[in-house]
Amino acid sequence: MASVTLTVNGRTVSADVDPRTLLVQLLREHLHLTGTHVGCDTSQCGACVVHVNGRAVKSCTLLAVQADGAKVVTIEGLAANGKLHPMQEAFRENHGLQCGFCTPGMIMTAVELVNRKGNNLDEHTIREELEGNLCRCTGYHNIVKAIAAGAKAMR
Amino acid sequence: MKWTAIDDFGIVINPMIVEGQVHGGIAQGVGQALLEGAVYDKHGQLVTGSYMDYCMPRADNLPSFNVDYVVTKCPSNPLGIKGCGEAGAIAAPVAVVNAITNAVGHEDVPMPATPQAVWAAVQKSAKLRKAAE
Repeated sequence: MASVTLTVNGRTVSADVDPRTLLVQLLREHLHLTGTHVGCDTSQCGACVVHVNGRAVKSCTLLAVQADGAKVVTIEGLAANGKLHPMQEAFRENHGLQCGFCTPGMIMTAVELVNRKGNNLDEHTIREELEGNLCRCTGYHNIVKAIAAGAKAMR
Repeated sequence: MKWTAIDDFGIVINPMIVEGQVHGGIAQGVGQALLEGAVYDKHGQLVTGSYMDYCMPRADNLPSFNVDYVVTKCPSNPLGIKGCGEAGAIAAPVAVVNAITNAVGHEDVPMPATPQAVWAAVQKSAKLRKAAE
């Protein structure tokens, strides 16, 4: 067993895990933060995206032990004081989801995109940056709209 | 690229949801036309069983869509509504593949029309042109 200590959504947590445990397994199975989804297990779909030290990372690609000492934010950590994060609100407002399975990953990717590239995002940039996030329902149209609106609202 | 889709969904109760369904249908149709193929080997083993091998459309494979509709009340149910979930997926592959067959000049274009398939279709056009001369 390996011991890991990390900060998840502002809370320090420690766990003894099998060294091969993935970060997403630690989040979902040990910490019961099931908002982070597993869509493909092969790092294609992006449903498992979380922030590790501020960077968007596919948590099915990282071992839990690699996140030792890191600051992790999941979809559960975005809303504050009972209010949705502006990006979550934009997805709701713009019908940026249908079944919702890809949504946690989409939103985590989008928030990091805004942190990296600013609040004025054109359609081309958003579509290119969503390369690692798959959606089967929406055709991406309303996701792209939601991210543009959410980016402005994050100002 | 500009994509416009128009259909008749009967009485539309929530336009936002209906348009969302059409967006998704179009994306699935484009995927079927250009990217998504279920491939089996000679033993019947599916070799496109994960997203490593099966190509789903990404956001940058698609444009935004311009969706509109006319309303003809459906006479066979009390709400006057019609289905909208599959509508986009019906016309989209046809539109995309028609564009390709029109460009290459013959109809021997398989789906998904991958770059390799389109290249083969273009080679065939050249052969057909030569044979006609």
